[in-house]
Amino acid sequence: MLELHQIDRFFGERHVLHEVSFPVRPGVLTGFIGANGAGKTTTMRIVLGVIGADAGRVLWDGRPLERSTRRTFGYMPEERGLYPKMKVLDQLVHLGRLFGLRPAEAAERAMRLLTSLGVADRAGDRLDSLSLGNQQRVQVAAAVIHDPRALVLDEPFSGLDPVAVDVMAGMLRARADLGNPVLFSSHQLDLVERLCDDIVIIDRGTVVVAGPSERIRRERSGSRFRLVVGGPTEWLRPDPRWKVLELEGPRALVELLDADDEQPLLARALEHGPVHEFGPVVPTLAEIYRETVR
Amino acid sequence: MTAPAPRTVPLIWTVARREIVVKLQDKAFRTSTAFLLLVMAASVVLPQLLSDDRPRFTVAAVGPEASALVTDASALASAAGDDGSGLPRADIALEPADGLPAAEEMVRSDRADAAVTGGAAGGFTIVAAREVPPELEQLLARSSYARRLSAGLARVGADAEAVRAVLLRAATPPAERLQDPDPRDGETAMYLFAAFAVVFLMTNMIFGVSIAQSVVEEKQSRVVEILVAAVPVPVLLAGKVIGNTLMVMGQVLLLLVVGVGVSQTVGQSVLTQLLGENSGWFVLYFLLGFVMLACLWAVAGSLASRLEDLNATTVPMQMLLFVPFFTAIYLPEDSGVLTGLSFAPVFSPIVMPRRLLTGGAAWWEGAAACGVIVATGVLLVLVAARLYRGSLLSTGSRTTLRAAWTSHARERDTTTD
Repeated sequence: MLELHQIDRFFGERHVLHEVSFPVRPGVLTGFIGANGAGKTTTMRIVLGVIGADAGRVLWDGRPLERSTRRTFGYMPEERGLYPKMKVLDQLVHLGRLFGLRPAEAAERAMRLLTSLGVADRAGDRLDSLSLGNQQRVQVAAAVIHDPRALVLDEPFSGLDPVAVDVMAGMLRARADLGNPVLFSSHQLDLVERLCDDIVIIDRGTVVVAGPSERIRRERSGSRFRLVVGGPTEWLRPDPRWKVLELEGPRALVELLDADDEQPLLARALEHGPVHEFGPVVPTLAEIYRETVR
Repeated sequence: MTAPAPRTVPLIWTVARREIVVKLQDKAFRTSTAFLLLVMAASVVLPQLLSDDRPRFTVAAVGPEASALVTDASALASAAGDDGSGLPRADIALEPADGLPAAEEMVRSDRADAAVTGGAAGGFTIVAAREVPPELEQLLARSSYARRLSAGLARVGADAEAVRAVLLRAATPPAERLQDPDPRDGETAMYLFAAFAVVFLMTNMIFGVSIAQSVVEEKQSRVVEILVAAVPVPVLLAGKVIGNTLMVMGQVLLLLVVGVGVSQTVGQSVLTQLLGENSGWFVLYFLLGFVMLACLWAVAGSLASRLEDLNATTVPMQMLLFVPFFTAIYLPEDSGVLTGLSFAPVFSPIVMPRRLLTGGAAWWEGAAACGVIVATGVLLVLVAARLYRGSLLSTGSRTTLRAAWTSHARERDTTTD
């Protein structure tokens, strides 16, 4: 498991990370969200040792992360980063060799990755002659050329078309299924909600929410219930135990003043006719994000 | 499966290899190398061509005596230069003419530079359009003197052929012997040094800028983040410097081979000898001089954040090359300043070769200067490594030297090794 422990970082006078701590569990996808300038990139760069931390530690299996372990991580920087004028295959092989692969091994892995990403036919072309989407695919290949033990990706989905998003998502899931921790940042909250098992929300350098996505959403679901009935709805109105937030035909959104009144509400509803739908309303990630980040 | 952590040396070589491969694939680089080789060959051949301007003359001759005179002059002209006669070198072609009008017509129509008529007894006449070319006049005059004198002496009973041969030989001026000769050709040595200095300056600029560009390209494209995550920063720096140094040395050796080859082919014996005697020094000073500054070029690159910034960040580097260059070229020989500077850091790689070439320095002085360069190089590498580490990952605007120097410590690893 990869873990950040009490990381602090200053840029000059600016305190950009405040005791940032969160785990990145193996085998699951962890989504890292926050506004521009909240500290996502800085955090990721510290994990990869690209920049230093002023305090705190990055842990691997409970012990301080060693350089030899970190070399086995895969990284995709925010503003991407490959040699624009180098041929696609050449630079993947070069990076593979920097990560300690033998040349033949690197070439073989590179071709296999390019094939699975659907850009094998561009292997001999200069990177800057590829479309942005295809460059992104090569970037992905670069991040996993050495079969990394953990993946850290800064905005891997930005600028991708829907097909490429699916390819990327499948790739991330596959890496996680191998038992690796996968951390990625994104502004696309719906995507994070769909893909991620864990989420971390950072606001102005402070982690405000971190943990399994399901649990977080359930905890924040509070006492709002969605009710769809077959009969009349007028009975809902005058009751001190709940408040009707929305009412549209047979559909109602009700907030219980006391969470224990869930069953009495259902019982009342059944008294007036059939109940087609009844359940707690779990907030979307976007709603949680807007609530926590101000 | 994870890759084993590779050892440092193969990693450095992987970085260096990329520098070399990219350079070799670069059209601009190949063109500039070809151009340099051409300049080198031309600078060896041109002086030879310019100094070797043998004029060619066609001379019409009327009658056998005039023909014999022109043949004599032609023989004198082709032997001139090597025989010490002091006569000008020239190629003279004889064109027998059918009578004086025909000969005059040849001169008028520019098919001949001059016509000769007459004989030893009555005297020769040279006909030319406006003036007799001075070289031709001198050669014909010497031949005419010999022929007329030997003819006159023959009339009083001497062996005309023998007299003429003696007279022609007697034209050789006295031999000279210097008590304290300068074994070197000062002019050629200085010329050769200028060539060395220009090549030194150019290759340092080309490959220095190439190092800086390679660094800033990695910064600008952000690939540096991946590189730094994979490889320790000193390995990156070492790989770049070694890769480019190999390229510089390859190019310099190529230049030397072309220089020696061409100068031998065209018979520039003095130049060939000077090159042969000094090429060891040249190569050594190139190597040390380049490596001494190479790491600083990398810093010039890492201080910039875009290619456009290089103009500004490489200015100090250009000063470090141009000031010693002009000093070495323009300082007078035998000045104490020149001797002093030949041992001064930064100046040494270019000033000492001049003293070695033009004869002012002993071999041990050359060796001592190498020691100075190595010491300077070690110091600069240490300073540069720190500045490079401190500025490589700063983004946004240009980094100042002070910021690079102080942030070095802060960008330390969060990891333990």
